[in-house]
Amino acid sequence: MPERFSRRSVEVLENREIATGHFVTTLGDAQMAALSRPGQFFQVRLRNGAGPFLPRPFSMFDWYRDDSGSVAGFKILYKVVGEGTSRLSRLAVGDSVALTGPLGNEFEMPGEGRRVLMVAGGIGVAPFLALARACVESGVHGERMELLYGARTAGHLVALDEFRQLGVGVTAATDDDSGPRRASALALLEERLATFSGDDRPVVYAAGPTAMLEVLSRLCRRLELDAQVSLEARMICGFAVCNSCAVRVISPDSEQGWEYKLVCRDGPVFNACSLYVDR
Amino acid sequence: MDLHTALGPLQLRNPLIMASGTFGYGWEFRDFLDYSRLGGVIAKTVTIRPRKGNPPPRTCETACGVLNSIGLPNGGIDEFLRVGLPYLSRLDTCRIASIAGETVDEFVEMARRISNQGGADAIEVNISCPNVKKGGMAFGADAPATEQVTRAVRAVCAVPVIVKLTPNVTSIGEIAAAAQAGGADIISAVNTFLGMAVSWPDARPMLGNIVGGLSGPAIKPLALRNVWEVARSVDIPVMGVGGIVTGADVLEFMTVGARAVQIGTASLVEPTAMERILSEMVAELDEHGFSSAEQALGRFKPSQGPSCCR
Repeated sequence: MPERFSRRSVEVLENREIATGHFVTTLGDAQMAALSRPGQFFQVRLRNGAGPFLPRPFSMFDWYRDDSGSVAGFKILYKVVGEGTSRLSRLAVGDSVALTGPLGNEFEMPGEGRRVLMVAGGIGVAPFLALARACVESGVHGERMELLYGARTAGHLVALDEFRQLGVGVTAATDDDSGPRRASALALLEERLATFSGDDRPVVYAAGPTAMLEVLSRLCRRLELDAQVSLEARMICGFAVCNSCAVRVISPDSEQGWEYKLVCRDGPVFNACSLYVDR
Repeated sequence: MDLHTALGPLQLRNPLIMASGTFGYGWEFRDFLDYSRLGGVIAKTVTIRPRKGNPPPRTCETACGVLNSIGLPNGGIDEFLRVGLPYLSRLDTCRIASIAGETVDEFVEMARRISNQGGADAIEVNISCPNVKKGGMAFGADAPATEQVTRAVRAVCAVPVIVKLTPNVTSIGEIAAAAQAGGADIISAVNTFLGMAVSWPDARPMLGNIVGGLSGPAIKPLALRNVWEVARSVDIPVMGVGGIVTGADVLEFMTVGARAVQIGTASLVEPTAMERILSEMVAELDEHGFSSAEQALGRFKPSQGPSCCR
């Protein structure tokens, strides 16, 4: 068994449209699945000639267990936005993709007794089911976890049942009036934080559009929150060779007050308070 | 199959070399590749002082390729000599360092220090990066400057000097001849092609640096033409680079005069590409009755008219 990530051709076990334009693809590599931790990602490349030139990075959404109950693969959740995701969504069972992973760091698990708030903007929900499952397996009761989930419309709120099955409390909102209520994921978070007392400090996990994470980062600094964010960036390799996926992180030692870190190597999970936000 | 290739003073196990900037310093690919099966590796370009690199986004996918404006982020020459070169020097393959200066003096200082420390089998002089404001392509776009920097580096360097050329010039043959006149042992051709990508609805560039260098299969025909021209313009050995993703690609570059090739972007999108390309090349040679890689060198016969193979 390799120490870290590997590269293999892996079969599609299932490809399912769970909501309009949203797919869960199950990939059958037990070894990669067993190695991967919540927050990590995989580079998925379609066969030469069958898809775009660059691989696409996807968070691990959940593990896949076969009928005997053993981990036999993992799932990725994505919204179709371009040629890569479109072709991926059309793969049939038995087709294969070239996979590299698991890559990047992982979410730090919440300390004993801490409440967990997962804040998802749109498809940013992707890494949180695996996190919730790992929390449950490490003894965090489902009731101690909440998903605060904002999306454009009700049709963009996906996988709610999966979270509820783990006992996670789900509060969802949309930008329009199609959902349970009209609010952003950040508004849900601020609202929820106001109910916490001084001693009961939750651990916040967030993922979503860059603009949302920048605002969240300021909020976290102001409230001195213990928060981790999962970032996205344009990427080529995924293993710290090409230096594409640079993000600015606060660095008191450097002249400008920030330095570049690589999303693929130093992330994708970063301390929310460390994000450098211009403007 | 005998894959051995002589690249001037360098003896290579086979003609496949990991290109600079797509290899790191050696540790990044350790899980994917058996270095003893590679012809050689070229470390990421190092500069005198540490560089942060260009503002993101730094890359953008294009048809059959990718634009990059990475901007040579690296820890500087001191860190390279302390960490990068010692690691590189332990790899069981031909090990090549890469340097980029803003002035001739910076090139000379880095070449001298790398050469004196030992551990690199050759030094590639990167006068072709399109993504830095000072130095970089400015040298490689000017024949006298190319000759000057090559001569200065040659004078302080105990190992072979490779000069990497930019294709963003009117006549790459003249630049190659200038590098040869300056004492270059080997020429690498070519670096990336300057390009850009734009989002029209909001009328903004796709790259933080606005423009960048294009690589990947999209540039193979362009690179091939440049390599052919360079090979005709000089007597020193040429390494072909640009868009190679298959064994047949390698042999095409060798046919028009490259004695070895560099593979870059292919390894980023497919980390095990070197192994695949090597086995494809062997199969191709075998199928066509060749018993060595060197037999495929410089066979180009344009005077006999166009191919009827396909």
